[in-house]
Amino acid sequence: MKKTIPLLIVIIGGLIWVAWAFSPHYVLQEVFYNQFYLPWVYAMSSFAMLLGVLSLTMMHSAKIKRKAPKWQFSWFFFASFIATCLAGFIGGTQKGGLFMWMFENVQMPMSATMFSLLAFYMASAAYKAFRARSPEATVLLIAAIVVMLAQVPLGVKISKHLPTISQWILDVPNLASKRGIMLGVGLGSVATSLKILLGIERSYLGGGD
Amino acid sequence: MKKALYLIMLLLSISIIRINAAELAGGSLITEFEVYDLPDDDGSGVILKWKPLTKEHRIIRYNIYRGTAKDSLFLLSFLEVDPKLGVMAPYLYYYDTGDQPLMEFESSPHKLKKEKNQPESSPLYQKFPLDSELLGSVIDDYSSYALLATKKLHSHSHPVNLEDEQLPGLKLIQLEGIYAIPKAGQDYYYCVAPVNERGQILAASEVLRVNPTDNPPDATAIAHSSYYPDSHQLNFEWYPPTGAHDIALWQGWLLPKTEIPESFKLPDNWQQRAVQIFEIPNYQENQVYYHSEKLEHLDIDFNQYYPILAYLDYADQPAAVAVKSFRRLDQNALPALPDYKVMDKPNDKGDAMLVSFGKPLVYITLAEYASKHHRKLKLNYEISENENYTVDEIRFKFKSPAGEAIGELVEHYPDKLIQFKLPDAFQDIRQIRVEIAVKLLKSSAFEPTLLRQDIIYNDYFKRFQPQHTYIDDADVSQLYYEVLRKSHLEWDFASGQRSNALTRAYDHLVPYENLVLKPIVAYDSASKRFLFEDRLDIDTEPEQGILFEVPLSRQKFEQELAEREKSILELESAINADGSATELQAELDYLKAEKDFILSHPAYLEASAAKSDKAWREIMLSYHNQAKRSYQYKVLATDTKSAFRSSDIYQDATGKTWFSPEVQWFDSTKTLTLIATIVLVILVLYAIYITRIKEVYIRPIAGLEELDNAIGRATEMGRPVMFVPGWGTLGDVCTIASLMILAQVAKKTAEYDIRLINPHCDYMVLPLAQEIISTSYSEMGRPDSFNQNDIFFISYDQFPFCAGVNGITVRERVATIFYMGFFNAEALLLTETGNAAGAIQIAATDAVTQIPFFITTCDYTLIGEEFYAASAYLSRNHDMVSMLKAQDYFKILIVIAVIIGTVLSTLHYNSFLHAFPLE
Repeated sequence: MKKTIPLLIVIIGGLIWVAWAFSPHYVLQEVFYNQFYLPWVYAMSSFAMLLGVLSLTMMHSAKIKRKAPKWQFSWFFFASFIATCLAGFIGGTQKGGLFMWMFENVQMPMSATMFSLLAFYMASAAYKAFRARSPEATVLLIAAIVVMLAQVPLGVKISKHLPTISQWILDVPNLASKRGIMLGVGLGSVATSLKILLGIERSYLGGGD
Repeated sequence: MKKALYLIMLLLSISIIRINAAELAGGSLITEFEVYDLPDDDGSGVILKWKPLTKEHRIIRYNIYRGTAKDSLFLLSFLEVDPKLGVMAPYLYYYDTGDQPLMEFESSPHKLKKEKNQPESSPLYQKFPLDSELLGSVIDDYSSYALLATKKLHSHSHPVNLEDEQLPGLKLIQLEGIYAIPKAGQDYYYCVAPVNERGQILAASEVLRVNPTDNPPDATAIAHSSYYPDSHQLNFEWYPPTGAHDIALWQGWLLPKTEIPESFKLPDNWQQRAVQIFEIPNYQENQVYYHSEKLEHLDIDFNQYYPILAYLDYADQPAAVAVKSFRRLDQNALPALPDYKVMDKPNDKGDAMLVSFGKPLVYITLAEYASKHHRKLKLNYEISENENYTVDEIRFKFKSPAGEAIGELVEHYPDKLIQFKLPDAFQDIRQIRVEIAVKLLKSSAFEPTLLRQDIIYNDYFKRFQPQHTYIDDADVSQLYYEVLRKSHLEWDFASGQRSNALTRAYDHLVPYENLVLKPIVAYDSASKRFLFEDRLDIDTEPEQGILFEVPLSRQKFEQELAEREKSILELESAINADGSATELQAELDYLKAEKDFILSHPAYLEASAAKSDKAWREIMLSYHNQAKRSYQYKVLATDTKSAFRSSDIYQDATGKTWFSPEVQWFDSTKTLTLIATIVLVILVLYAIYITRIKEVYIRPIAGLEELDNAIGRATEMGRPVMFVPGWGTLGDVCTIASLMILAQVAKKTAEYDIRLINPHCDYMVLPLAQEIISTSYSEMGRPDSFNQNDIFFISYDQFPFCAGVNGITVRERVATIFYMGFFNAEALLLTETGNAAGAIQIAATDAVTQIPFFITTCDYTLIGEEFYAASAYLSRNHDMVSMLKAQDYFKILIVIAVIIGTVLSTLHYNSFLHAFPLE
């Protein structure tokens, strides 16, 4: 019973979505989706957010309690969480307020910093990938050099055919393998959906096969 | 040194606070603020003008306040400006035409709130509050409208008595929005307040009063006219001036040329010397109007006259313009009407009709030389088609301007791009004539309709551009089609949806009447309800001007019928008493005709048999919706300068003239997808049968084979295992697949009694993951090892989540990391950090762009479908393994289809390709 009812909910819900995907009928597209599903999702997601907040609070308070390694950092979570909440609830979230100031001057620069690190990691990954240790890696190295050179003015200076070759690499072998992967992904996701819909896959109900 | 620094900082802070305080508390910085009536309108518009502040003030917006009393102005709207650049224009303008809601349910306060940063005596308030009483007190000061759901009005309204009648009433919370439009003769007060980058509202401008007035219409209509002596027909085509909703009547006149000066400014009293030729009501506001008048009865020399377009607003204020472009043409000069068909738009939710014109056309959009020596042409073309036909092949014939053949090219698969090699004799040609014909699917020959284009080389752009386009030798460069349509509830055909002659399809949207904008009749303070008109239009009879409308109450309707009957009897007795009363006779005839129309109407007949009031209302509502969504169609072809020809009302093969969209149960474009899904299900069932009777082979997947070793290594090292499910949501299949693998990984960690860390960026996925891991630990007999605090939420944002995971990797010295799910730019940041920390990493994703990064930096990567196969591979459950086999069978079918498609399309047989829903 513990699994049958959730399984029934999943199967019935799944079948409704299958019908929604194949039918343009007003009842499914407007009444079910726009008038029932979307408002329900908006209402539910705000409550679900509390789960996230609760989880974070529990984890950090446990860390402080246990005096786990680097437990002092957990105080920063509480401090910044309270400061952001107060700024938002008291001053509002509009542009010009403290909340938006904190977002623009603390959160955004930190995110930008993380993102900019990618350039260095990419160089390191490229070094690993392009070492010509095998014939396959050598092909990869040559293809990468051609494609990268074609993106910069220097490439055209070296050879006017470089952009054409680069475009061919991107349009033919690259696209073919990409489509092969995407075909497998598409089929895999349809198969996973079917597994759930037919009740073959039940592990998402909480363990078990 | 430190003290000096502190002192400087203190002085700076004080000066900033002082400047700020001066801006907030001091006089207004807004100068040259003016408020005046919007000209040429019906009194519903007001213009605000002021000088914007300089960019040094860092203004982000200007708040607009409006009120009907000088001491209480409410925030109405705002104009956003760039704080860095400021405003370049010398003045800023705001047009209040009532298009902004008076109150918004999302942002309006629940009670009256003074505006921030303003002095105590300030008349400024925040948005109009959600207060029924207050709103009820101002609705008469404006033309007030409510946006409301029709269902609420018809089914959830409460009848409220107003004087001697009952009207449906709705509470404020039942409405979707309130709009208050200024009205003529009423005083309004306005002011403007700048808001700086810190969100502070600076001192507002002075409060100015304005009293909008109903002005005469603007004499700026653009009119064209043409006369056809062979049929004595005079055509008018005109674009109305702004504010056309206030125009009640359109009139056509003829004025002697001698009366019109060279400036074309009409003299005073011009009507005394003019001849009126038509007068029509302005039933609805259109973007363009057409009128045709037969003038056999008029014996005048049209060479001596100029047509005049005159119009009157609802207050009988006139305006007129002389038609400058007046032409005399033959009937032959009128454009030909296209073949067209009206049909329900397929595969929609029943909210659109489709008007399709003839067969598909192909035309060149751009061409250029593709070789240095101008021997090769690259041409881009566009296909204009409709739902009825599919283009299979296209034939291009290239000719010189003299008609000499250059070459021919047949496009077997239309990809909107062709390359054509010019013969040596035509190298560097500057003008080409292209003749294009199409072959339709299931047709054996090219269509006889020929589209001809002259494409001419432009030295400046170094490209060919199409100059003239002909369809069967008729120049269509200046030909446009207009779809005219009229519903059961409209008096005349509406125009304004114009498209050029190359268009092959027009979608007429017929939305469901879910929301309506209704005027608020009154406010009832006892019940706190706003009252609305309760009438439903059922049908019209345009020839006699009859409108069949009913109230929402059956009792009231029957009362009205009885009153009509009484009026008829009274009129009959009055006419019998005075036989010469022709006006009374006309009124009597109208009332009788109206009565006959209503009593014989199917809505009345069906509703009369209804057993309850509710059933009666439902029947009337269904007829109202049917009438509102049923249309008649006509097509008009025009040169946009009054040479137009209109078709008769369209009727299909069965003689039907009224069309309404129908709801569809199945999207036929997805037939193949449905078939493929059914085939996959059959293959699954077959695979289940096969796997139950014999052992099937599954290709080893290295990443999954190593799963035991990876967790074993963590056990040996005494360090935790981390499972990162990516940042997909529960709606993504990859997240579900990831959770299925998580269940298997959790079992292993429980078995080896090693710590499993599971960070999340989606709070919806989190509880599911906690439940899955908890059950897995219980199933392995280790519920005590389960620690809920190790499955936690980090952040909903991409990079904070990435930073959090990286921090854990380094701090906890994680031995094994699984990245399974959807990843974006953070993939490389995560895996490089894991790599640096010396962890064994196994990744699986369906994000094609991230697979290369995972392959480079992880020890094992599951590519694409391997990811989805993982849970079946790990569990070895027969039913789940059968799914893998079914996928393999299906892949064989795909490969066969790809091979067949490649061979057939190479041999120019495209029917197989057209069977697939390709974009």
